[in-house]
Amino acid sequence: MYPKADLCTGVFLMVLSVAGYIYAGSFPKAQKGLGPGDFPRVILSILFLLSSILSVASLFQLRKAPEKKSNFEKGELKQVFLFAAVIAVYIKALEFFGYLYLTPFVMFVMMYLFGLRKWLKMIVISIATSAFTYVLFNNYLYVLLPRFNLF
Amino acid sequence: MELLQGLARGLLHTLEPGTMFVMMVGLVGGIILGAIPGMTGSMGIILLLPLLYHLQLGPALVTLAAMFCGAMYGGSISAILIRTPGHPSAAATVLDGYPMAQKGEAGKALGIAVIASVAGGLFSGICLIFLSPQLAKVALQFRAPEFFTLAVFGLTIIAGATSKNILKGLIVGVLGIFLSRIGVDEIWGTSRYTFGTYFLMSGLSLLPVLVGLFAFSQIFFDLAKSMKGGVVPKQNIGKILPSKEDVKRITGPIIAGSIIGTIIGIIPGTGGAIACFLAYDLIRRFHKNKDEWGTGVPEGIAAPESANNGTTGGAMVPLLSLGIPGDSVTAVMLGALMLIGVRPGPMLFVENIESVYTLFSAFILMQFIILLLGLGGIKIWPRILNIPQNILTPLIVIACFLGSYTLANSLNDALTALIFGILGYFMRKYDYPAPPMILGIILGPMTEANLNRALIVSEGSWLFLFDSPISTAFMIFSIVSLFTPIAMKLRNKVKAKTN
Repeated sequence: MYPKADLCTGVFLMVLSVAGYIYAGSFPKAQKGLGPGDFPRVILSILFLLSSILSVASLFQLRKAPEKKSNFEKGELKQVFLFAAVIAVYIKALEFFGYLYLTPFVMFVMMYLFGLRKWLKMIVISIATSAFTYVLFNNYLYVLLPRFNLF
Repeated sequence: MELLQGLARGLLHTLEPGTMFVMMVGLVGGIILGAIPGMTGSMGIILLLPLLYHLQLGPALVTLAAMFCGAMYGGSISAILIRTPGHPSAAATVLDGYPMAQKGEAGKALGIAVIASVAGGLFSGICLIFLSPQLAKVALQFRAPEFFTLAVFGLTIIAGATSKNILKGLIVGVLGIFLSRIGVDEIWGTSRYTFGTYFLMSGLSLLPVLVGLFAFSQIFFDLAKSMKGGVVPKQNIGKILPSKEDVKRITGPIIAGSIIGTIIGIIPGTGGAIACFLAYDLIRRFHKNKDEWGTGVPEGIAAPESANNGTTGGAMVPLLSLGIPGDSVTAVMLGALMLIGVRPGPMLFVENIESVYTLFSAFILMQFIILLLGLGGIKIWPRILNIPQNILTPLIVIACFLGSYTLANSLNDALTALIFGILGYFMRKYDYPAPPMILGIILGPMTEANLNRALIVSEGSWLFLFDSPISTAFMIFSIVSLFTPIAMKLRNKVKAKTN
């Protein structure tokens, strides 16, 4: 059980529900049936109710027995966010450098982050994977992958 | 008698070298595409278009059906091996397929998946052949109230699909419904929660969310595991056929899953994604060891796999007899057939009956070929897991990127997958289940659109819920489905306190 995390989640969702509910008020009203804002408001009301139950239950649990142990290993979050950042930068940079030229570098970095240190193996796998997937998707599956577009 | 003679002629046509060749192209291509996350049967059918132009109607129908059935089975391969369903219809297979593979029994998991898939396909094929006219009449009964009550029934599964913590499951499911409402409203055309961004106008696509919640989140988990020095157990590929005890365990779920899948497939606009979760939850509820589900039990693979392949024949019932697609893949199939000058519907059975008989015979034959291909591939597929994690995981990242990008050639879809991957990682860390969110995203649009239509037609009266026997039945099922897990939990708590 993670009462602290559940309490934060519950409060966040309550705030999100209220904000979404108020925002839905700006949608036009319908003369017949449900308007654009009606169904989201119903859903957000249910979400508010459920998340308030979660918040109250977590509060009671926190008072009974405060959460002692962290759910993450030392350095785990840092690794996860670093890896996510690598993927995010890769996706954004694809617009400029293209799939074929950028993917080998990203594959190399990812294998490094996962602890591989055999440089020749990493280079061969990176280049082979990128080339193979590029030919397969671009030429045979007719999926136009991002191209080099820097200049 | 005439039907049997027609089927015999159809079988002879199917066994012609040309027809067998294109059927194999469809089957093998479908299995491969289905196994690649993000590549669906719909895409496979579009890729087949240049081939279809050169074929006569019979072989063209056979090729399309082969791609459909192959892709539906193929999704289970990646669901079991890398926790990434190849398409939404295999999402429920992850729940027990991946844990079984993690225990070193990937071969057994894949064996159960192929047997269940073939059984589901055979059952729905027999229904397609012998019951098309009757089942098509059922499909015609579905209007907005019936679709709405079906969606409500589907949503009540959310409570049951999360045996550990019902409250967290409901929260995630309701959040999923809300997320599905982002974008342009289907009835009024109003932009909702798009904040002026062009990308959000079309809403959140299911595939990138699926890839993110299942695949990317698993990648982040594997990163944490590799830090701790954890290893994936070596795969036992020795046994690929289930044992006698496993056969006994999976027979009931396969029969039930096949029936559920066929029925869901017949209903236009539904599909394998709804069928797999419905089958998983309904069968689990009546199972004596329901608490073991989710840890890698054979029934947990057999139920959704027989259901999703059960939708293949079911979805072809309204397509062929009424010209109405049963799901998204058959919708693309309808478009493909119209492009080659064929209009499915009642006249198809009058003007092209021999081609229809060829399709019927081929549909049954291809299930056995899937069995052979599937069992043959089992010796090969699990070896993927023996690739070192520091090589396999980056390969999976690239596959996930390609899968989410391919949908609309959009880098924003890939970013969506990453964002949901981070969300999925934290959800797993804090015991928030992912399947309810997927269910909410699938069923949200169906719920609102049909509720709105029903209310407009009934001029605001809610009595439409009980206007027809079908909608009344679904409402009763929904009430029972929603409150049964809560009542069972309360009963168990009271029992525990008494003891």
